[in-house]
Amino acid sequence: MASEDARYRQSTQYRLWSFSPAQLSSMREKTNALAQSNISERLLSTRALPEFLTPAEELQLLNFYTIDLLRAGNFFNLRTDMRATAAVFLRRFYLTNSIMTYPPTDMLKTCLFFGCKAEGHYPSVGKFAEQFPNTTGEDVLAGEFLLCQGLRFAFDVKHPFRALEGAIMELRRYGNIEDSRISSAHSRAREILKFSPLVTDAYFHYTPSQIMLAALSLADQELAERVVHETFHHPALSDGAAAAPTRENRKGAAAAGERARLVGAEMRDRVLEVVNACREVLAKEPPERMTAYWGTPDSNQITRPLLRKLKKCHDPDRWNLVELQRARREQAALKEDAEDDEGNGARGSLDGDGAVFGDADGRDVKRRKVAKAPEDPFGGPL
Amino acid sequence: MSRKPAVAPRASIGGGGGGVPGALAISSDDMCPVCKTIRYLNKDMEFLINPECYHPMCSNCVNRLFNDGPNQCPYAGCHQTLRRKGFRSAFFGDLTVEREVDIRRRVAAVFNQVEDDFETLGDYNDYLQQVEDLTFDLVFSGADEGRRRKAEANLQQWEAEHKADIERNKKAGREADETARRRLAAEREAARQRRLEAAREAEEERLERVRSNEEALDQLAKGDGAAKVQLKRRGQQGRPVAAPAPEADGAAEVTGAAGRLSIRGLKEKKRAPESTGPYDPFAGYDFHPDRYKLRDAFASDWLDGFARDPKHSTGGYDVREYYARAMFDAFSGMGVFIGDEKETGSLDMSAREVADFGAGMAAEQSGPVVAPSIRMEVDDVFA
Amino acid sequence: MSASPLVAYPTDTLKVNSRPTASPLKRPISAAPSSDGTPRPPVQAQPTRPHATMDLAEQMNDDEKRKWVKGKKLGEGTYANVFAAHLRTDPSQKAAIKKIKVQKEYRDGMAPDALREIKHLQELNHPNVVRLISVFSSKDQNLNLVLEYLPLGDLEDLIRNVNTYRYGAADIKAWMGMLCRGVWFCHENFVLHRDIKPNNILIAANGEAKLADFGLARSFSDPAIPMTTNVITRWYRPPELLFGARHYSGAVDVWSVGLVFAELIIRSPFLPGDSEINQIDCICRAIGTPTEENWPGVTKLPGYAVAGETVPVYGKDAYMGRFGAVGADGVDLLMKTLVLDPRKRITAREMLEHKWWRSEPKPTRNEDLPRKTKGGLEKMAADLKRVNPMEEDNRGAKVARKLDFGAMKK
Repeated sequence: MASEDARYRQSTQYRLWSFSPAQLSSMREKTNALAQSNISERLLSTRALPEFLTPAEELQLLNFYTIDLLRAGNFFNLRTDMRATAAVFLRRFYLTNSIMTYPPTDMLKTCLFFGCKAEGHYPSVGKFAEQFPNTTGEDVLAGEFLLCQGLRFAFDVKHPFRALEGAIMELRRYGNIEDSRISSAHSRAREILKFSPLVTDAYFHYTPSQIMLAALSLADQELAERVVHETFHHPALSDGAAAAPTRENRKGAAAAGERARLVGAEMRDRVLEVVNACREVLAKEPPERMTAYWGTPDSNQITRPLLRKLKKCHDPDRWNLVELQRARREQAALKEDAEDDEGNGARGSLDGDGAVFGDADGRDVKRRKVAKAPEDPFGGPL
Repeated sequence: MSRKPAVAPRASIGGGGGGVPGALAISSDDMCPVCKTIRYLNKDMEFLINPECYHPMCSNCVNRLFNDGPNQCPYAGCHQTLRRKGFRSAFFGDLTVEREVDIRRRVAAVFNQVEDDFETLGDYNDYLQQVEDLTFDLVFSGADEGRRRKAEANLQQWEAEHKADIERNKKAGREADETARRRLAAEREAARQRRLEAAREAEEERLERVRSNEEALDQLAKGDGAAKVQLKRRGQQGRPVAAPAPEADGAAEVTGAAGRLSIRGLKEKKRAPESTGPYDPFAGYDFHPDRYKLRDAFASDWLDGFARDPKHSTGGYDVREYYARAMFDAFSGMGVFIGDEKETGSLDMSAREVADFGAGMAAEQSGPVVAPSIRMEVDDVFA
Repeated sequence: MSASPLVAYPTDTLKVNSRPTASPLKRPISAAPSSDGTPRPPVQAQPTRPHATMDLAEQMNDDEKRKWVKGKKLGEGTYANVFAAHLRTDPSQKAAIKKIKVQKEYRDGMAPDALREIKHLQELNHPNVVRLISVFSSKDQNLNLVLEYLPLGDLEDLIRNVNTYRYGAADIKAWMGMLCRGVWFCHENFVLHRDIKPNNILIAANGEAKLADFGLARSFSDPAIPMTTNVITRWYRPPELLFGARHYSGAVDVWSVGLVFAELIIRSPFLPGDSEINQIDCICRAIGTPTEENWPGVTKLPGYAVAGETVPVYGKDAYMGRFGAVGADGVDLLMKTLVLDPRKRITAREMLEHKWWRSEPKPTRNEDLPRKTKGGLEKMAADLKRVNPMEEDNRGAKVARKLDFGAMKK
C-alpha cells in the first residue's frame, strides 16, 4: 500500500465522508424517511398531511441550491477553496438532514460563511450578511451549530485544485508535450473542477486525485492518461516474479513485487477505470451548465413544482432557524449551570443530591472509588 | 419472593416488620394511613418515617402515639417498637429507595477500606463484590428473612471485630478530605497571589519603562553614549521569575555559579537502556512518496515568480513546500477505491491488501526461523 | 519504501479508543416509510425508541455522545471546562472532555481557536500529537472535544520545578525526539502549529510527550496568500514574525522548538522579552543582530527595526559554554534551529536526520523519564485548561491571541 494512499485514508474526508453509491442513496432514503415521519408527527394536529418530497426530488433541489451557492460565492469574489468548501459542506449537511427540515436558502448562507472560516478567513458576520438581500448576521449564524453537527465536526475538505497544479508540473517535467497544449488543458480542467465535482456526488465517491484526473481527462484525455501511465510504469508483476525464484532473492523479489503492486499495470488499470467512472459523473454537469442550463426555463420547469411542494411540506417547527436557535439557547442556558456544577450527566435525577451523602468532591481519587457505593444507591442491583 | 428488585415491588419494604404489605409512597397518597386524615383537611400534614420499619404516618399520629415513650408501630402486623426520636421525614418519595440509601450508608461506614489496603486490585475487587452481596441481601431479601438476618449478623460481627480499623479508615478519609480541601484553598490563594503579583509587576514595569524612557530622552538630549546605557539597563530588567536576559558575554559562568544550571550535578540515571537496536528518530514513520519523486527544481513559471519574490522568500516562505504539497495532493489517494473499500467494510485497506499485509508480516517474523540464511540478506534489502 | 507504520493502522482502528469509523448505515432505522413513499402514521411506531424524533445527523451525534460517560469536572477556564470521562463500554478507557463554552467576546459564531483546533486535530494522528478521539455536541449547544488522557502535566512543570525534577542529557534527548517527531508530522501534513512552547507539550501516562493546543494552527499557505504575524507566544516567536513577514514556513515552528530545547537545558526561558521590541533586543544580544549579510532582504521586511550596535552572530564556543550539557552534537542542532534567516534554518525533517540522535548518550526510554507521580487529575485540568487564551497565568500567549483575532477579522 502506498504511503500516499494510507495517509489519505487517515483523513476525515475518507473516514467519515466517503461512501459507495449504494450507501449514499440508502442514507438519503433514510434521511428522507425520517424527515417525513417527523414532520408528519408535527403537522398531524394542525392539518392534513401534504405530499412530501421524494429522495430523488430532494437531490434535485440540493443540486439547484448548490448552484445558487456557487453563484453567490462567485458574486462575492470568494476564493476558489472557500466556495468549494462551502459547496461540499452544503451537500454533506443535506446528506443527514432533509431539505424539508431545514431551509436550504438559509443554510447555504451559513455554509458560505463557515466555509470561509474553515479556510482560514474570518469575516465579520455582519459585513458578510450585508451582501445578501434581507439578511442579518443572526440569520447567517443561526444555522452554524446545526451545520457543524451535520458535518460531524470535520472541517477539513480536501480539494483537487492543488492536485491539478501538481499534475501540470509533472506534465511539464516530461518535457515532450507542447506547452500551449498543457496550458489549455490546465485552464479547462480548472474550470471543470470549480463546478462539476461540486454539483455532483463526486466528492463522496472519489478521491481528489481521481477527481483531478477525471477533469484533466475531460479537458485532454491523452494528457490524463499520460500521467497515469508515467506513474504506474512498473513492468507487469509476472516479469518480476519469474526473474527471482531463488531463495537468496526472495526478499528482493518481495520488495520488487510490492513495488510492482504499487506502481504496476494492475493498479494502473484500476486507476484508469475509476477515473473513467468519475469522468462520466463530471461530464453530466459541465461548467457551461451553470449559465446555459441552470436558471433557464428548462431547469425552472423542473425545480418550480418541487419548490412549491417544499413550501407545503417543510417542517413547521424547524423551518425558522433564528427562532429555533433562540429557543435552544434559552433551553441551554437553563440547563447549563446545573450540568456544569455536577459534571455527571449519567446520574441524571440524582444531580444535587450530593448533600445527603456528604460532599465527596474534596476526597482524593482512591478514596472516591470506595465512596462510590453509598453515593450511588442504584449502582448494585441495576 | 425473588431477589430481583424489579419483581419485588415496594410491597415488601417492611424489612424490620417482615411482610407488611402496602408501604406507600407518600407523594402518591395524601391520606395518613393511620388516622385517615387527608391533606384536604390538614394542609400542613407532614409524613414521617422511622427507619426501623419505614412505615409512614403523619406527624400528628407520631406525636399522639410516641410522645409518651416507646410504642408499637400502629401498622397491622408490624411489631417493631418505635421511639419518637427515631422519626424523621423521608428524603426520597420512594421509601424503598430511602431505605436502601440508609442501608448502603450504614454498610459503607463499616466497610470503609480503600484500594491501598489491599495487596492486589483483584483482592480489592473481590472485597467490593463481597460488600455488595451483603448489601444486596440486606436490601432485597425481604421474603428470605434468613438471608437478611445472616447478612445483618455478619455486618455487626465485622463492625465489632474491626472497630479500630474502621475508626482508623474513617479518620484517614476525613484527613484526606481535609488535606484536599486545604490544598485547593492553598492553590486558589496562590493563584490569587500570582495574579496580584503579576498586576503589580506589570504596573512596576510600566512605571519603570516610563522612567527609563524619560531618562533615555534626557541622555539623548545630553549627547552620545545614550544607546549603550539604555541597552545595559534593559539587560538588568528581566523578569524576577525567569532568568535574567542573557548577557552577551560570560553569561554562562554567572548562571552556572548561581546554580541555575541544575543539569550539571544530576542524579546518575541507573544506566542507559539496554540497546534495543539503534534509536530511530522517526520512530518508524516514513513519508517518502511511493508514486512520485520530489525534485528541487520544478517546471512552473508561476512558482518561479514566487520563489524570486523577496516578499515571499525573506520571511522563509519556501515554494518547495507548496510544490511538495501539490505533488502529494496529485498522487495521494489515487489508489483508494472508495466504492470497493466502503462496501466491503474493510476499514483502511481492500481485502486483498489486508491479506497481503498480514502475509508480509508473518513472513518477516518467521523468516529467520524457517531459513536462517535469510539473516545475511537483511542488510541489502534497502540497499 | 512503504514499510511505514501507517500500514499497521487498520488494526489500530479496531481498538475502542479509535476514531469513529463506524458507518451510520449499520444502524437499522425503525421508522421506514411504506414503499410508495407515503409515511406511515408515526404514532404506531415504538414510542420508546431513543432516536424517536431525531434526524440522521442528530442520531449520529447522539451515538457519539453516548459512547462517553462524563465524570468529574477537572477544571474551569474562560474558554473551556475540562471533565474526566471514560468509555461507557469500558471504564478503563479514560479520556478528557474539553467542553468549549460559547465565547461571548467573539460574535461571529464559532471562535477561530475552536475551529482551528478541531479542524486540524481531526486529521492528525500521531503518537506525539494529542489525539482528538471524538467530537460531539450536547443539548445546550456546547462543543465537547474528547481528548486523549494526559495525566502527567507538561514540559513546563518539569523545567520549572528545578528541585523536584532532576534530569540529564539523555532525558532531554528523549523529550526533544518526541517533540521533533510531533512537529515533523504536522509539517509533513502541511500544518503549521504556531504556538509551540513548553506548556503546550503534555505528557501521557506512558511518558510520551505530545504536542497539544492547535488553537493557532493553520495549513501551509498557498503562494500569494498572506498569513497573520501575530502568532506564537512572544518568547518563542521567531525574528521573521517579529519583523512582520506575511509569508513564512515551517521554519517558524522550528525556531520555537529550538527555544524549547534551550529552555530544557538551562531550565529558564532563553529569550524572555517583555515586549515585541524587547524580544528583538533579546534575540540580537543572545544570538546576533539580523543584517543584510546574514539574512539577505531582512531590512526590507515591514517591521524591521534593531536597536543598538550590531552584534555579530555567536559562534559555537559561546553556545558550548552555556548549553554544553547536551554535547557538541546537541549544541550543533540547537544552533541550526536558531539560525536567523529562516531559509537557512534547519527543517523539521532535517532535525530528525541530525547526528545528535545517534551520538551518546542514547535517549532515555519513556518509562524511565522523570515524571510526575501524584496529583495527576488536577494537574491535567490545569494543563488542558491553560489552552484558554485569556487566562492570566498563560504568560505571553494572551498577547498573540488577542491581537490575532483582531487581525484576522479584516
